[in-house]
Amino acid sequence: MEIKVLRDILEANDRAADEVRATLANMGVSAFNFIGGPGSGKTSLLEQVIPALAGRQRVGVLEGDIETTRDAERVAALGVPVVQLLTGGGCHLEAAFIARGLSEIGVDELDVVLIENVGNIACPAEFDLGETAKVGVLSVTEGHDKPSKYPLLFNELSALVLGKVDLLPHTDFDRQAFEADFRGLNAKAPLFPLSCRTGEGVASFVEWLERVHEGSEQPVRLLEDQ
Amino acid sequence: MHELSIAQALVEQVETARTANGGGKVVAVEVRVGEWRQVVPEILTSYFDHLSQGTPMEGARIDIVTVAAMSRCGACAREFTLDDIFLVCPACGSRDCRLLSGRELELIGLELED
Repeated sequence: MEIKVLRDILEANDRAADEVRATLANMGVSAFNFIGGPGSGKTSLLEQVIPALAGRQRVGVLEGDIETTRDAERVAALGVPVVQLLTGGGCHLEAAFIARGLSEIGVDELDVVLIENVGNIACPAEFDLGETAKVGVLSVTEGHDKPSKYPLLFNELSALVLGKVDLLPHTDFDRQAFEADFRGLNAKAPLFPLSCRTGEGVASFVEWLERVHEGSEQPVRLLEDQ
Repeated sequence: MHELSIAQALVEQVETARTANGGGKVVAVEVRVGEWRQVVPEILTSYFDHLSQGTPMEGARIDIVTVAAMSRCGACAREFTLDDIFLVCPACGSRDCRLLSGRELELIGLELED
């Protein structure tokens, strides 16, 4: 017996993501999903962004990791609420984690939620978390060829942070080749070269976060607007 | 590795459809996967085989239909197949291109033992 179903396989995740979106909209909260490889500098970026937003936005952090609470401890040291989401082997966060994390963290007391995804530039791109914007984090030490090797993430993201630019003179990172590939995948998302060590470029990224939060800039959504 | 989550979601959906249609053993499952998803058919199949062990889905055939990524240029209206990873119009070079297909990840249907 043949049975027609015709349903999105990830519909349960998509439904949970819609609920997250509705919660965020009701509370006037923005959530940014930071996606980057292990060691790309996601936690270091949060350590720059959180103090920069202090006093202007009430920030909370959802910290995704496979194991350990080390990143959550680093973030908690900055005096902001943080909830650790341990995937126990899972390579990415899904929307149900975010729904749970938002209720645990007390989202009604916040303006901006920073979500640090599991270190991975392939899998997290497949899962809608209901976030306001996806932010890619790539460091110059990972190589200029990463956009074309992991195209889906670079299609999906609303902004790209190019980190560790203070190390550029010590690497073979080809900025032109990188930008040509990145722009072939995503013509519109803003690019923020920065260094968490020197602080260079951090301010303009933080300004973008605040513009998106305040609604004066709409985040690029290349695939979802299709 | 995200194929594991996808396979889990697929098993749940197949089970829902199976019980809604009188139960019985699942012979085949038809799935549609767009080329612009990072889903490796062999990995999805092997996770499905693993997760379905000991269930009425065990041994079911997974038919995966790949959907080509197609795009339409916003500047010259040309429709084209994306052979490359870059969203650039082959006719006029514009990057103002919309994806028409290629992001599918759907359970099309299943076949139950008569």
